[in-house]
Amino acid sequence: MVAINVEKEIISILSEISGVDESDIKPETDLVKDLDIDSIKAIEITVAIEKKFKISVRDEDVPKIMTLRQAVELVDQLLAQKNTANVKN
Amino acid sequence: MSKTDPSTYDAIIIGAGISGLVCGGYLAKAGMKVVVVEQHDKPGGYFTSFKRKGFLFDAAAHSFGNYRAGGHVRKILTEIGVDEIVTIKRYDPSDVIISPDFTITLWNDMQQTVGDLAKSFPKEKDNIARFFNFLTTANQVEFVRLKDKTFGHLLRSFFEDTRLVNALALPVFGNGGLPPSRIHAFSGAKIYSEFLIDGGYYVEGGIQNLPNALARIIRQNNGELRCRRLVKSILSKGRSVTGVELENGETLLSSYVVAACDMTQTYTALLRESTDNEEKAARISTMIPSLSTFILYIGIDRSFEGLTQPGTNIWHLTDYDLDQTYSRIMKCDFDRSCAFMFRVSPDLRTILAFMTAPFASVQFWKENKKKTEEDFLRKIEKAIPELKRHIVYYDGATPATLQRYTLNHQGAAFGWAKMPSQTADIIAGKRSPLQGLYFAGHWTSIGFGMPGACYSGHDTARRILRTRKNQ
Repeated sequence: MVAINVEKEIISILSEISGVDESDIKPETDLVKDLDIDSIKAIEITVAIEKKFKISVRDEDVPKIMTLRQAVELVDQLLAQKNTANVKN
Repeated sequence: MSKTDPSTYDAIIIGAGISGLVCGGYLAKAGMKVVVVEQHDKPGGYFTSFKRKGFLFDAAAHSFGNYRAGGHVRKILTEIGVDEIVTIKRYDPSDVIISPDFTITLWNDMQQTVGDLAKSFPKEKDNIARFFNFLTTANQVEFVRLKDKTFGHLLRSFFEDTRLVNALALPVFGNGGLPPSRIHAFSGAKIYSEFLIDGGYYVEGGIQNLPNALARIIRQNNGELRCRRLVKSILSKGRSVTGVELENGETLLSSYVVAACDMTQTYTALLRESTDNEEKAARISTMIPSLSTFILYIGIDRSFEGLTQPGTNIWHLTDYDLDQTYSRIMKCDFDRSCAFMFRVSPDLRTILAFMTAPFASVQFWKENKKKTEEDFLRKIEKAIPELKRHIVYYDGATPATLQRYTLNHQGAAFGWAKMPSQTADIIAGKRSPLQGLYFAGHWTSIGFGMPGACYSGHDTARRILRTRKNQ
């Protein structure tokens, strides 16, 4: 299986939806303050991440995606959970 | 310059609907040489007016929202300078919902709405306050939690009374073409916060004056609006857009093209020869467009005094089961569909009435337009006694009419059907296959109507200006 570069993929999604250049998006970038993400873009980003990584972001996880670093951590965690579940199955 | 020399622009915008005009307005004001190409003979898309037999009718959109101080639409129209050209008036109440057992009035003052509603539903008093508070204060996190929910789910998380749930859902059904069990919670919530709680705005002299003002500003800033010009194809070289070719053979060149038009045709016709987009075109063909509307334009003689308050949208719900109404509408069983809206114009001379309707086929509407007009007229006459004797003129617009005038696929009134299951595809649909090609308008977002179109046009302009700055 080809390893997915989670950070790179999320930067690509954030750039596409916010319109901000990929090179300007850093791990500490605050999605709301720095990328001007409003409610419609926040939904678009979350749904695009879910689709890209084939994961489901739960209601309680939503407040954990405030920066790029946090988004990467959450996706890594959800991918690990998914892989564990797949192994068990 | 010889006749065959192509004209060169800094940006070409396909479609003079509100999103295209707003985008063009921002780009022109930023110093770009802009051309907006429109196939109709006037700008506006669904935001147009027409004259017939001495009456002035708004063709589809008849009021708008989100113009409060701090609202997106207010900010955008002020930044472009539209508010210096037109006068925008607000009607109070903006909307009235009439159900078999009660009436809900949406006043400009939200607290008055909440107070009145609590008197009608004392058991739901706290829930009503919480619901309206959520709609006006929810942040990004709260909205993301709605990402896969329906508006019905959201309503039921606040209310127990199903009559109240369905009556509150009626204007969302009318403004979104889907019952609460199907429409995205975000879309429903935004229709409430941007159309209803902050609704009832109207451009003095007719809705057409707003797109006309936007077009005037584009022209004042060295731009052009070319009406009666149909774009035949989007041109490209390698992976970059280079311009458009018009049906009359003319070529317009630019490294920025905004497709603020129907997305199905953009992929199946305009981009057919310029990109390898077969996969995308195939996916688009499986997506579900929103429903259309059947609109009735009624001209009234001057002597009639029994009209409802001018400028107020009157919604009628004759049966609470909106799912059943939706399924009847899908079968074109309009006689038994139980939801419609009408609005008396501010000049008290006309009534615009509409009900949600499917495209069916051009042939269906050729055969059924007259009967649908007459049946619909009877429903409105029940709501306005004595109206019949004062009608001077009436005519209808079917989904086929709306498709003909705006080129929206199947006369769709709201872009793609805003169901949670389509959200990912709606986002993917606006991912551009060419550098320099952008998408704007109601086919590109889960946002709605005029506020959604303004937002989309503004967002697209910002992207283009940001890209140019970085180059």
